[in-house]
Amino acid sequence: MRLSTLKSRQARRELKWGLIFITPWIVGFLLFNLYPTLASFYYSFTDKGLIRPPESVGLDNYVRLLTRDKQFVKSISNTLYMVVVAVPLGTVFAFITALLLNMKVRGQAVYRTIYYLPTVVPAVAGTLLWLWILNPQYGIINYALSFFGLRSPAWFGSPVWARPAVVMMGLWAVGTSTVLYLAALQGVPQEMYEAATLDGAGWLARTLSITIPMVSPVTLFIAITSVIGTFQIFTQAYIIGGSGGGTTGNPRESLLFYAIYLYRQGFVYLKMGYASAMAWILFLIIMVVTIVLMRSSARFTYYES
Amino acid sequence: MATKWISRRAFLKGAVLGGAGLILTACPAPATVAPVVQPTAVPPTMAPEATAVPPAEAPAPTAAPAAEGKTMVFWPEWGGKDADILKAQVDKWSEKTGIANEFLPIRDHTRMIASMSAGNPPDLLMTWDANAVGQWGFEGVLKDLQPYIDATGFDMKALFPIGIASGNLMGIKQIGLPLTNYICTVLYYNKDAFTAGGQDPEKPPETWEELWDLSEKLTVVEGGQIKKMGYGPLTGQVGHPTVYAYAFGGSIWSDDRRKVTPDDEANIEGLKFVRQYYEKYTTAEMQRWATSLGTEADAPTYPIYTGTMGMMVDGEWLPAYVDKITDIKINIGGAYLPHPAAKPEVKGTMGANTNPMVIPTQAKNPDAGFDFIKFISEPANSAEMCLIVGNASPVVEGLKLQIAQTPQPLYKWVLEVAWAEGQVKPLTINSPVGSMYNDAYDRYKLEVIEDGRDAVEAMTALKEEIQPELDAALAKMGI
Repeated sequence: MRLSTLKSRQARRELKWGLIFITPWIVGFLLFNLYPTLASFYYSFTDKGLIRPPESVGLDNYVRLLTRDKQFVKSISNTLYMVVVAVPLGTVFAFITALLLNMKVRGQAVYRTIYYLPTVVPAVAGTLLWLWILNPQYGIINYALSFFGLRSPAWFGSPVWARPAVVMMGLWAVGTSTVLYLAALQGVPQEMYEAATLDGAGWLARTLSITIPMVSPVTLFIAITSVIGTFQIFTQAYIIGGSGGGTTGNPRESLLFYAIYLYRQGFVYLKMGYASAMAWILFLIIMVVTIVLMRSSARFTYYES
Repeated sequence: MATKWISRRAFLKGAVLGGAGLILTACPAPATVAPVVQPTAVPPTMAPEATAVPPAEAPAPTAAPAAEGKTMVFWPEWGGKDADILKAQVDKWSEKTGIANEFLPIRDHTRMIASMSAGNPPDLLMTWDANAVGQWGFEGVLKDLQPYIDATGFDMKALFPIGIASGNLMGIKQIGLPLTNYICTVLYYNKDAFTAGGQDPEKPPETWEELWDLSEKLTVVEGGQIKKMGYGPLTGQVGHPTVYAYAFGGSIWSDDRRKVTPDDEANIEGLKFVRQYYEKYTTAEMQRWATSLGTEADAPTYPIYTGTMGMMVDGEWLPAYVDKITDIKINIGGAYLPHPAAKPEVKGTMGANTNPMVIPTQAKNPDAGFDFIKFISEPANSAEMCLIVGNASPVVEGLKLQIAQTPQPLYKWVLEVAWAEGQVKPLTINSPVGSMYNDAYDRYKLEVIEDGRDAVEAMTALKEEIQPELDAALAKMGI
């Protein structure tokens, strides 16, 4: 038998067993990812209820969303606020925290644990906790402010302060990004710092010129994943929204985020086709933003290799 | 000689085949659904200690007997003790009929919707949200109960009209029957706060004008900060869209439910009444104060208990909590919602809701589901359950039994006076656009109340937004 035939038979056998091994994943992907995705794309061009057969409406759902739906615009604007404010703040806060936790001090492990703990608190429990912390009359923030003769705002009762309060809640749970930065900081060569010190560079110069560029790949990763996650913010707003299931985006629709409005259209108003159209628009927005971030990353991301 | 071990390739082959075999033998796995607990504003239904109830009457004969041997799957939207009390009734029914039951409290509409959409719903559903029931009914996922009512001789006259209305789709079909009713608009007042404010603690306001005067006297503002509020104009159950319209003698729905009427004069009057508070105390301070209030009626920090609020509109379940809170002494009274002085005919108007029981279209054992509805609608069974749950029995004779057994004097007043003599109106209307209307109403209402937008202009804009949606929905359904 020829060697080439033997090799090709072996390759086919290996391919066969490889496919058998990944079949469970493929089946799961087809049934629970690809099929629902394609189905939702189809439904986005229809008027679909619970069990009524979908009736084609062409581009009506998309046209209505983009031209006549004021709540859609509101939800996009609220979500973009979070992306533009919370993501950079969260990234910077995580970086600074990582720098602090990277310092060789006594109890370093304890501090790292303490700063990571909020990340493992479930979102619902964390939100309820913050509702108490930010209570305008009895919360500890109000208590602390009263020492300086200040009165706390209404926080979750005020449409002006509700979103900053949600941003603040997000800063409390930057543990995952902090851990990523911590790992990246371990990979920065010490020789660079030594050389810079010899050249007379201070702490700030070393941080700006060495640390930040060297961890920039992690910054890019955190930026992209945070943007994707923030575009889908839901749980906190749902809990804070209050009675009736929390899908009104209270107070005064300031917490009417995109995912909240999508949920409301699909599961409260039972407009599955309309909600599907919203889902696809969100997909396009996230894809565009991600592509822009990736394309522009060459300007601010330094890869040592 | 070296030991011959199995090759890695052979081991992996065997592992894959063994794993596949395990998976095949495990399918189909029994469907288990873990209950999802979500914080909601479901009216609390805790109740005073149960007292002895007369034994159940003999059940009426059923023309369509439930399928014996099958299981009745019941998903109620109650949790905790209320679910336990309902489970006890379901078990009693199972014992009587010999039909097993699968009782699963589900506090998540998403799961209910998903089950109906997937064609695998329970046999019986109970939800506190009549809005949702109306929408599900219009979507065609709930059975028409009229054939069951006719076949079994179920006596609809034995029920209060409001319970029947909550499960009726605009006169087209009866898709739900009530498990319990509950009045949401009792005016509770803190007698100690009245006394401290120099007011007669036994004389609650009867008109909105009196309430405004009284609330001004009871409100305490220090350094521009509200410390105590005489009346919470949007706190408790009074925030529901229909309440003020009813209380001022009108409605935000036409009688035939085909028109939305937020521009009803009475509703405009109600909005202007509430706006007074935001003008006087400023929107920022009202928002701040409202956010700081305790929200749990079973906690001693609830504002009406502590006197932080002198008067508050809340549900009939409140007295049940009063007995259970021992940390502080609570001294509250109850009264009808006020009426305009110029409209004495509106006196006694109360808003109520229902917990409707519905049977999904694709239920596997719908007969058993309806059989339980019949069982729990028997006066003694209904009274036994409602006595503990703290809601009113939707059965006329059941309410009488419940009143006779209720020890709590304030709750007894609600049952005896408010239910028997009040003008009880439905807070929730079955409509294909019910939820959408409520959400939009909230939006426009706050523009009037917090921003000072002209009420007539705002409500007209609301009507122009919602009426086309309602017309389109009704046209699509051929109604």
